[in-house]
Amino acid sequence: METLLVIEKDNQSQVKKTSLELIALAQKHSWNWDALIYDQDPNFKNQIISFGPRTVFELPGHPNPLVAGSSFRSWLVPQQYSLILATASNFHRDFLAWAAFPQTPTIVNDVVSLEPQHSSQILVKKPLFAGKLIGEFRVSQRPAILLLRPNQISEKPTTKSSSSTTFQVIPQHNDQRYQVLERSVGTQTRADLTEAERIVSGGRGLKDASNYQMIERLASILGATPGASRAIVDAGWVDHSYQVGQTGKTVAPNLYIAVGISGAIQHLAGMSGSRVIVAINNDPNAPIFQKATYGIVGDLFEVIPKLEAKLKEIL
Amino acid sequence: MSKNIFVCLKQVPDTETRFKISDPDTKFDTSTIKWIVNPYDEFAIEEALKLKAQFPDCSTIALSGGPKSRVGEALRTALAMGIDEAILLHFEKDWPSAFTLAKAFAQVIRSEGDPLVILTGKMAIDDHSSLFGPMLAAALEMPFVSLVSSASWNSDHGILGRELEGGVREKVRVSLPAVVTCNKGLNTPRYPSLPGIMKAKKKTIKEVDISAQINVPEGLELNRLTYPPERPAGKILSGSIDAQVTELVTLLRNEAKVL
Repeated sequence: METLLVIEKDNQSQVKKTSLELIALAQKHSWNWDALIYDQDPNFKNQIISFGPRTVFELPGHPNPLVAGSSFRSWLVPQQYSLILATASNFHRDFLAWAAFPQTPTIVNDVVSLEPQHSSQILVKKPLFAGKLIGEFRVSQRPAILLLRPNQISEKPTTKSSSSTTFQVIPQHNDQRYQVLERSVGTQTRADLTEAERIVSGGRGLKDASNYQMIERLASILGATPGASRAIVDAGWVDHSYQVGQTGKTVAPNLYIAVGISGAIQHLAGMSGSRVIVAINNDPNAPIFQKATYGIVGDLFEVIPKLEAKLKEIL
Repeated sequence: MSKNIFVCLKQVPDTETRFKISDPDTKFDTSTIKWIVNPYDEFAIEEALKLKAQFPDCSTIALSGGPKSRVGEALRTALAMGIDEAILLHFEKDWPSAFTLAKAFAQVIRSEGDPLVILTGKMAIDDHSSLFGPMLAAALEMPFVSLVSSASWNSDHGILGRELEGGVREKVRVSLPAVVTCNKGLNTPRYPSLPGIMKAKKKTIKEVDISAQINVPEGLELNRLTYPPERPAGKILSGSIDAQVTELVTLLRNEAKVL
């Protein structure tokens, strides 16, 4: 299968972990693959080459989705790809959905698994209602654009000695109708909730906005991203971007620690895809314990400081 | 300036809903479902009303797609909040693709004409796809700005603030007409007023049947619905808090291997 992978760079000039998942998937199925990048870093490029793509294409326009989208659209038309894979993210959704129209109508967001079938069909699964149901869709049109949820593929890509990789730059189509006037890189150095491997979330059990710093501190010890229940977002303790759940972000980390969160159905839907769930709550009947891998029934104001101390000993 | 401000709404099951898959397994039981306006689309309605206050000669028009047996209610909510007109795009198909929907909506918007801006939510809480906005913009050959949480409007452009992954903030200048997808923080949606509700009841909702466009096979079909995999029963720890914390860390490290 002819595949194009959208590959991103992390803060250390390395291939982003979520992009490594895409490469591992292509290698597992022995697909021929090209890389589409929008960062020019030489170290990053060398690392991509080490995984054996045929061609690395550089897409201009980032972070302007209109410029990236229209450049990509014009370039894509004569190409022969069956599949275009990217990590599910805002920029990817924006520029790929824009570019998909009108030549490439098949695009699926938030894919958690994909299985190629015999007759040029692919079965893809994606969560619906933030994971309360799973929808299995048949994709039969080529090319199809699939946006994969992070943390779904455990395989690691293998390096291949290939010196035949070529480079091409995609011509830029300017569009003055959209201009980025300012762009402030966030103060957060940690991964976004949707990509995080570890998340520590806090809820109403924290009792007061000022106690959210306990969540921040525990998260920083674990290298985790802090999250929140809807209740404390609505109360204004933290920004909406922290919200995990059906009306916030759907997350799937390896480790999810829920502190003082009782587990409303909307919250459970958003985090049940996590591999290991730890619940800390003083109410033994809290619904969160039904999803928990490990549960501590107790006062979080007693548990968290002890947990912090213990983690500091070993990490 | 007498242009049209469009709002695209989706009617979705209430977030409290527990789903039951029916037979055939491409459907779920809708008999007990309470339908609501997608929460992010409420920010779009409110922004349209704010725009109307700024440009009083403009008309606000709400559009929503789906079975006419239920979708009218979502449009009545928009009318009750103060939207001027409503158009129902009728079709029965579950999970239509963003592509077919965007094409059909674009056609209706074109036939109404004179768009100032087209507003919708940043995502719908049923499929979480966030693809409709950019595809609608592409279908209308307009620019679009997603995830907008602050806005100031002029007659020919908007200065819009957006929030992205990892706390990145952007300020964008977009020429109008444009498609804009709204995020929490943009405004506080008003509640429908009693006179608004009475007035909305009397208004006529225009109906357009888009079934033929939506039912075109286009390479993406729902095969079946399943429940998420059951999580194995968890372990509730016991003993003193000190003992529990020690056991938790040991389990995370040695059994779950996540530390």
